[in-house]
Amino acid sequence: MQNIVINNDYKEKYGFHVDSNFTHKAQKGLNEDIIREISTNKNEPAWMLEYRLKAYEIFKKKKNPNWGGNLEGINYDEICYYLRPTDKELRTWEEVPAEIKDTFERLGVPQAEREFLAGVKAQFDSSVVYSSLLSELEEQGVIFLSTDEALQKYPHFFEEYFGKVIPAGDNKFSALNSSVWSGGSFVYIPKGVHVKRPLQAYFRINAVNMGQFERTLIIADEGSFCHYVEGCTAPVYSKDSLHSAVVEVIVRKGARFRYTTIQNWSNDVYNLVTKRARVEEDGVMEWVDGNLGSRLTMKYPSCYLVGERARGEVLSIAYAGEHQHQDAGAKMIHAASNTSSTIISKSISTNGGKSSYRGLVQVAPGAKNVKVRVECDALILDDKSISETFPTMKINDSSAQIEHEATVSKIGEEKLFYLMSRGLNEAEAMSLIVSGFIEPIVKELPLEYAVELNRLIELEMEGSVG
Amino acid sequence: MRKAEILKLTQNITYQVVEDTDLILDLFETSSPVKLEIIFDKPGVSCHLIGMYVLNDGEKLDFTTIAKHESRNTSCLQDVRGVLRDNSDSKYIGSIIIEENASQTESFLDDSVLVLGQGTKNQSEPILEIKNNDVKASHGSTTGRINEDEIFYLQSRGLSKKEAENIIVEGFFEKLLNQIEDTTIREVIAEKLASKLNQ
Repeated sequence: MQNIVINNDYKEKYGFHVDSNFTHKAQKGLNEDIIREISTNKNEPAWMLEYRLKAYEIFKKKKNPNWGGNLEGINYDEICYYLRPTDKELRTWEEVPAEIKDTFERLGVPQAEREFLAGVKAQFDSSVVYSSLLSELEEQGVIFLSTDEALQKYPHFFEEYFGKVIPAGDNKFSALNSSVWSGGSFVYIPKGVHVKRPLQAYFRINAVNMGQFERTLIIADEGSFCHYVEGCTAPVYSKDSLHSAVVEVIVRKGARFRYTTIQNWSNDVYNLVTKRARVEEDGVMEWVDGNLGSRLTMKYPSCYLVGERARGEVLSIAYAGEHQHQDAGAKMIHAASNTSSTIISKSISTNGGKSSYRGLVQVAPGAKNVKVRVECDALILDDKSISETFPTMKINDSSAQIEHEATVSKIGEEKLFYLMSRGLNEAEAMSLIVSGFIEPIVKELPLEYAVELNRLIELEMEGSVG
Repeated sequence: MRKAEILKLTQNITYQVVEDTDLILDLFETSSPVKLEIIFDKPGVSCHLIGMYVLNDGEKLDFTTIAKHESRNTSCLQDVRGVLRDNSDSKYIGSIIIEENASQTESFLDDSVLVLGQGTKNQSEPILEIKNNDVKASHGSTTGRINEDEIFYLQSRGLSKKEAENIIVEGFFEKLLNQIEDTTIREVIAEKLASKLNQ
């Protein structure tokens, strides 16, 4: 009955590919020379090169994780670790090369309501080619730059914070990222500053076999507030490509930071991302995470709640279609008293897709009165698809209050019947039910992203036999 | 009446459900990590698993239960409740596995831990692995400290703290005890729980 074709018209709608004139294209595979070259080209301080080389040693020693998704399709020697489309970073839109502009035009970035966006950071291949910052933000002292540029201008932030939340040795992919990182965003919100409009970054892979290793470092200083948004769509290629980002967030005392991601990688991308926030006293960190597309996603946004009364929240949606595995989840580490966290995860598996929730809630001994709520709901749309839930709760204090709930179900026949009796066809009815299922998370997104996500889900649901 | 059976979990057990069964776990002599696998390979059978435990000062418990649905139209409910006293350490992995051809399965797991003492450790891992969409499956897991307000209320009615705690713990287990239809088994388990609580 339910045979949902995923991305059947993806190529027409998203899978366009514009030729790029790369000014610099590194060779395939990874060795020390390439890392030295990256570092020299970027004119980095010596300690960063040293850091990269050390990380490379760790990367070589570490094995692929033996849990989660199937990583056998990754051939590290076939990946290009660094390239950039233009030599210098561009400040105004007019300076952006026409073909790159064309790509973003189709993605809707220039049209995205400029008033609504605080700044546009578009990653095209490995460096940020376009960046603008509203003068209002500059006046407030907010720094929003590509990570490369920020390292040149504000090295002291990097000496203090870079690699502190996620050390190179954390896992194989953080080690890889630490050795070849390029691009990404750096955000600094000064003390007490409230950024009203979301900061936005737009990422896009646009070269066959291009690995993207962006590195994002965010510091929300005491009492500040900000919402950061990133979104991705990528063209379809036949060769597998690897996306392995590292995102470090430091939420200082009393600050509140929300990080929203909507990812729609093409179906050949391995998306192996390490995201972690350190949350200090009275701070609040919220991860809103939407995973569509990709061949395999392994992503577990984490909050290390190290200060009293810190709070962490993860809201995530995963959509796994044909040949896709979404292995997503969340980690909450409660290291201080009176900390609280909420995890809400919704997954949809269809057409043979597999979605997994993998989570960890840990309460350290001596962290008093911790409160945690975890809710995982999964929807399976056909009999070929798979849903899994692997939550782990390690409660090492006697005063914690932990609740975990998970459900797996299909779309109720009676709901479908009702909607169809109201004149909808089966595909429309299913699409409506799925929209309702993810609604609690979609409503947390900025308007344009909510619209985009709903549109993407509809697109994915198209072609379901009904 | 349904078939009812006490399972003493002192070693790994694979249990095949051949008719509607109530399985009552005896965890009182469990010392090393143990695993119970409940196999549903006959269509239409059901199982209600009931497990209750009390861990006194410094005691440890590590056990796993798996409901594995391999055939059509089977159902399972796993009900596990535990009480943790000072410095006790419990680890419970509760799994629901529904295979591709096991359509119309209904499988649920409910795991509650009531914390009485200090310095306790508790690890809960409720797992779902679902390969069929024509199913209903869910789990709930809670870990919480005994409600201080309730204790205060009972104390204000003249009970000692220990008596108040015992009343709340009795109520906590009663919900499951009442579901054991076989009176002999119910009494055996109730007695073991009571003697453990009074240690």
